[in-house]
Amino acid sequence: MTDHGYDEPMSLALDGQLPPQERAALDLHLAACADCRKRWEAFQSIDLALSSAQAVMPAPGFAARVAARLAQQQQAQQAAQYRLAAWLGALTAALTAAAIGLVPGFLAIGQWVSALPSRFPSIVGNTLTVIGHWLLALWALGEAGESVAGLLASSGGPILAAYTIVLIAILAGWVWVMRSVYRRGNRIVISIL
Amino acid sequence: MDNNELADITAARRGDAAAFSRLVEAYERPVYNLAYRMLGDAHEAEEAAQETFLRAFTQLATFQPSRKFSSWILSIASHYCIDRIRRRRITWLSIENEQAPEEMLEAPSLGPEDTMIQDEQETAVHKMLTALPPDYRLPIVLRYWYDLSYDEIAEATQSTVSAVKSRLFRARAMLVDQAARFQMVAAGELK
Repeated sequence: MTDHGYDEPMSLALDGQLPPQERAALDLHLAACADCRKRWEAFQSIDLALSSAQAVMPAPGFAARVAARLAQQQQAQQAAQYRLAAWLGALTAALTAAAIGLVPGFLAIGQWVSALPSRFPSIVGNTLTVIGHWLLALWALGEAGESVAGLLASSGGPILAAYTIVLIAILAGWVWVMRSVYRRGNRIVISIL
Repeated sequence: MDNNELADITAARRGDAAAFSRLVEAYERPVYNLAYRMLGDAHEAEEAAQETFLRAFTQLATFQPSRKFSSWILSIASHYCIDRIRRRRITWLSIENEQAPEEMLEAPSLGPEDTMIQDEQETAVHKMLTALPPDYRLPIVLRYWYDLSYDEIAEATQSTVSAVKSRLFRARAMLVDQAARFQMVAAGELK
């Protein structure tokens, strides 16, 4: 079967979308051309076969299977949210602990290191010299911590208050995130990620 | 869109599983049929139809009530099926090995002879569709099984009306040529 350039008008005619003038031109051509008449019949035959084909149904219980998959997916999402919340909580707690413990910790280490030579004069030898260097580094950090502590103490209210507010804000942020996660379900994961 | 459907969509957006199940029941047939016609395999169609509804659930917030829900969900199914076909890199199956899932066809109260004729027609349609490239198969499926207008097909396929017209006539021409070829093969004129 030869296409004489009438495939598109034929297709539009099948859908009832061919304008009347073009339809008349198509009919005129079909009356004169046996090849195109044959092709038009083939177009109509395909159209009929497709039009009379029925819709295929899914196996019974489809909605229940979708519901089961949805529940499974939501459980997995919830588990991911809990893991995320736990990680956020652990991170916040670790940062808070570090912030709270940093200054007094370094202070204590610094004092302990500085007292070593006087406590163990007979034991401190060459071996401890090397270790001492490392400890001196820690001692220096302790001194720095002591300075910060001194600054906090001497400044009185403002800096100490700011330091406390920052810690409270971190803790409050953590509590808010945890509550949001449990209340709002999966949306918090989307907004965080 | 009727009020009950809109109420179910609104409730499903809030996470109401029962409301969403009602939507699934209402649209399982068109979605599954689209997937089956596109993918040509009952198991793949089941998987694709389920995935379509899962995606619809997570994207419900983006649904505009001014649109038809049927067009929206068919659009999701269409994109998923096209993606799936592209992912599997289109392995053209031997037409002789193709089997339609006859047991799932809706064929109420037909006699054995009628059922046989219907099965033959279904197999013929199945063969025709699977021989078309997916981009040409989709407008044919949307046109014949869902009676969508050119505008609606363009919207569902994120295309233009002129592209839809072009794909429809090319697809029909391919089907006509293919049918002629089969007839010639059957008549022994072509191998």
